[in-house]
Amino acid sequence: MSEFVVSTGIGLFKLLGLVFIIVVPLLVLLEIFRYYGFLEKGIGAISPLTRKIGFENESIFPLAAGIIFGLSYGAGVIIGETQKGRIGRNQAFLIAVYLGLFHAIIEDTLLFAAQGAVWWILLGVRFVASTIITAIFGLWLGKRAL
Amino acid sequence: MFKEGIRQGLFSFYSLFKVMAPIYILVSILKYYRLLDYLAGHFAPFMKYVGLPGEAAPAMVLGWGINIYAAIAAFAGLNMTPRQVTILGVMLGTSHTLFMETAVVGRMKARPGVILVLRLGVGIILGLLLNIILPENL
Repeated sequence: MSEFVVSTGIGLFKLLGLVFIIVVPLLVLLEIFRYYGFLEKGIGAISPLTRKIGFENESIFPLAAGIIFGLSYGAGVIIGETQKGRIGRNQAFLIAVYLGLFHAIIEDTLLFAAQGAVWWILLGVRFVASTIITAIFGLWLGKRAL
Repeated sequence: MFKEGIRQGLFSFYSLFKVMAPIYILVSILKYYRLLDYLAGHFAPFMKYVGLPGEAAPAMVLGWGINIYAAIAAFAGLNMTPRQVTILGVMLGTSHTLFMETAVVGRMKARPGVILVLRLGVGIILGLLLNIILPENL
């Protein structure tokens, strides 16, 4: 029994230590990103690609925000934009398709990699699957709108 | 801004601690009294299609229902192989925190029901595919 308590205690300590060294620096880094607006600066580079799978330019910022910072953050941006009428319902849906499958990718990938997962498979499979599925929805919505 | 980040990081860690510690301890107790084996036996017939042991079922359910951290706390003590953690990572990466995040999608007015089914479906399909594609020893 005492052996069980000790091994569980050590296991828990290791697990939380691992999570601590991932989560705290990552959140600090993301806060710095947000403060200096790195996201806005990087967006220009990806816009030709996102347009191909059905996204309008207005959608790229909430999309990128969600991919990096998480669904809630991306959604926060989107809710504001939809209320102002800058992002339509189909665009909001398309963003939700992509972000539903692919958000907070740095955090998720690091956490599972720390438990032994192969990081590039995690990232690669999710990226490819989300992009293909979104492109299918994008084409379908685009056709319907015509 | 740096201070704000650290403050937020520590606060987040504290809220994660409150979720993860009880789950990790509970799963360890279940394992110690062989209750996890019993549970695992019931789930193994389904989990084998995605290449996961029955013991990973609580992690899957907690990941879907609560979040990634709850899931990790539930499987961290189980000595899963890299192949298994990779498959679980892809499945839970695409579908997790489903109640809360579906509500968020609802506030985006972006057909939350469709997104929910899509996420669960894609997660399971990717799990099935990876179990076929990935080599035994990752």
